[in-house]
Amino acid sequence: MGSHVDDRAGTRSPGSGRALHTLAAAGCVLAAAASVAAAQTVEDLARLSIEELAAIEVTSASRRAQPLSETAAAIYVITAEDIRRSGVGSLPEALRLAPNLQVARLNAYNYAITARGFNSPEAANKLLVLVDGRTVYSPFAGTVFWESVAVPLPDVERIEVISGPGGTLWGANAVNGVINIITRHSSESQGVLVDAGAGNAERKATVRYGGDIGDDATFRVYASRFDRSDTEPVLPNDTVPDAFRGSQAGFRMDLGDGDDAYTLQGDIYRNYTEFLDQTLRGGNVLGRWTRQLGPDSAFELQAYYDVKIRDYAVAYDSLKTFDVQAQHGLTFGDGHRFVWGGEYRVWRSLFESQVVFGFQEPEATLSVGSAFAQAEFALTPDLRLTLGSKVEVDSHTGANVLPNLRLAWQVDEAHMLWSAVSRAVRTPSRIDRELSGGGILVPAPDFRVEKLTAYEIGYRGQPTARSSLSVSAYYNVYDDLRTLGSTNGGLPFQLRNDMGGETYGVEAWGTYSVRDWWRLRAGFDWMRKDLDLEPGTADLSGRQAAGQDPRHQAQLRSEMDLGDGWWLDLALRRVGRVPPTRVPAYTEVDAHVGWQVTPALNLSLHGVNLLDETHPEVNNPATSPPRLIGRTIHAKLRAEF
Amino acid sequence: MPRLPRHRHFRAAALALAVIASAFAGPAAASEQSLEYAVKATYLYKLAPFVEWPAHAHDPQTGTIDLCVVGEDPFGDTLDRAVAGQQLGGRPFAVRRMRVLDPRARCHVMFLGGSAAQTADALRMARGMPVLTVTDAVADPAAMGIVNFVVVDGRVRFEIDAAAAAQNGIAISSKLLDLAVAVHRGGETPR
Repeated sequence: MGSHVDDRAGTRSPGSGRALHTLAAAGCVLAAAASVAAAQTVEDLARLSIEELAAIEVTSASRRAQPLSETAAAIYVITAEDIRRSGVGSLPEALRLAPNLQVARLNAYNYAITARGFNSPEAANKLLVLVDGRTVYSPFAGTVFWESVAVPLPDVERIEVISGPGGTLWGANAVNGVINIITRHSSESQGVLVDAGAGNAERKATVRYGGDIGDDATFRVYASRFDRSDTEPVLPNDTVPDAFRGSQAGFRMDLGDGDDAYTLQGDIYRNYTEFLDQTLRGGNVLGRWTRQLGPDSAFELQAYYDVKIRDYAVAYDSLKTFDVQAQHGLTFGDGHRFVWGGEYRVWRSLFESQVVFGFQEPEATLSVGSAFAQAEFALTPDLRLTLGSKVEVDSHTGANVLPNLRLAWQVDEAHMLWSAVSRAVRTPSRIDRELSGGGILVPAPDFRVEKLTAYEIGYRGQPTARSSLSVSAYYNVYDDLRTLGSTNGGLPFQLRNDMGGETYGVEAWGTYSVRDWWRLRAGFDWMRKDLDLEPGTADLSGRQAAGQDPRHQAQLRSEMDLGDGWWLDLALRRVGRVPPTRVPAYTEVDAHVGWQVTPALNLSLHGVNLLDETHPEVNNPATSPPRLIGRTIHAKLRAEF
Repeated sequence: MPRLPRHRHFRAAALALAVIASAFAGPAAASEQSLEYAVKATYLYKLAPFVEWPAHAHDPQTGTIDLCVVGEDPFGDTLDRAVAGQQLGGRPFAVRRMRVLDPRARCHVMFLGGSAAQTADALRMARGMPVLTVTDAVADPAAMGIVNFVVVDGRVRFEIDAAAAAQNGIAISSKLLDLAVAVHRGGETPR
């Protein structure tokens, strides 16, 4: 069906990164240990700067010291230190650090990223991404346009990656996973920061200044610019440049006044690639008010407005989002917690196509209202039961119920077992329902939500004093996945919901401190898919919605602090062969060497994809010519004063 | 819709169980330490680069930077693990524990545990010595060290008594002062 198919769906997603904070503070299990998980042992803490140490959350609002790991979900946390040591220049590259994500680079500007499978530029529609509580998932296409996600990477505090459904807290489209990108509080980004890097594939610089206004308020402003080189073509006649460049700027202000805390933040960006003459521009502004109602109770109100425009050779796509949400969390009785809240969101989408495929009505407004409640009961001091649901009503598909049930058993201080059953949905995107053209494709107004029932079990703990381990296994049952069917055995075609089936897999990661100055980290995931079509139906897209997934991927990292401020990190990564597209397996080595010259100055040199001059990661002939991802070498400087 | 044969479910479940079971093969007695005290232990040596001691504070014989824990020790082996392999300017950290303050002991950083009265006594003895005193969430100004840990918004932060630092002849960098939630400069009553 054509090039238009940016497949994907879209819709709401309450909750938020910061919201996650309040949820944690107020009572959400899922969130509570997420920040704690970032640094589990005193050996991990050794890697942090003193500012980062000051930012580690050690207790919930109830002032109860958190056990080292008590989250009943598969959470991996990428810390600011991980980002700094790996020298990554973009958010998608930073996400490669999470062993529970599959990251495949398409070309200079585009990526396919998912958790637990269904990855491809066409099919990656089941991962919800939030930046400081603001969704960046597109309801127009049901995807994340990674080339439009503007994040001030040097001031990111942490990235929480949850594999598995998160519908109860985050709403629709948190099907296979949720990513929460959380930037630092402005009081933790004071002074001048210069973060600059240059190499054969990318040049990038960020400058930030943070200061205070009176005793209670702090702020930061930043500006950033990047320039990426073309990727290498595979086909001899492919001469299309895909070099990507852009700039962004933003601010954040935080005001604390007794029990009240206020945040106001915003960003603007403008990126450009010659490929299809694409300009990506937009901005956002977000305000948040948090009130501590007592030692065990907190309330949060948040609102934001976001504009994203993709202006390219064949279409103009604009999305305006207005969102307001409130939540209240409390602890009660003997360690029980309760959190509830509501959200209302309006999406205004405009899509004007210059080609045969387009929408009969370029403009559409989608409104979504939702309410959720989740309780966590301490059945015994060691056994916690979490029960909750969200009900989401949207103007296109009606009501969706997104419940979950979680059980966590703290076997002893060092070991926890958990299990969960949850339901999640992907709501239809505009493309799923409205795309038509050329007598080839007709709209599919009856396209249904894609449904998932997920069963998970997991372990997290410290098998020995010097190691940590997280293992999770899942069994996912999907229904009503997207297919392309014919209306009368021939043209025109129509998108349908004729695929279903199961996926199952195991994810594991852990750390081991060999010596006080030498840590090893390993990550592994393995997945199988058994998807089938309804009897008597066909998928003319060749099961595009099933994704292009390797059966396994693995990474091993070694991190050494060599003394006198020198450090050396090595990473070995392997991604298995992708059967449907015959993208071969690849193994790569990355090497990072750095020198903390003074507490204020850090210099580093990074080599990525060192084993091969180039390799392919994902292929999508329908939308862009195949490109190879190359070896990169770059040097970085980070100065703070 | 065709579903996967039942026995494959069992295989998946069996695999998952096997993985989880293997995680328990050989669990050692992991030391229980709350994250809060792991963070505080890490602070004890991470404060040092921001502090300048007078030259006479350094022992030419041992050349270590000495972290003393006086009174009750809330850290256990966490502090020993924290400082293992750490050094500052080529000088390793050493942990010393003492029930009561021994005025002859050489300490660069001194963590004072125990009751407020014991802490206040130890602080009086340490006054004028080139030592960075550290206390743990003390509310009584008389029992507050140069650095006093406080938990704010669920995070371990600290206050700094710059006047007391000056009395002890140690200089604290402006970066550390910036990071403090409060700086007491004398003339005022702390808190």
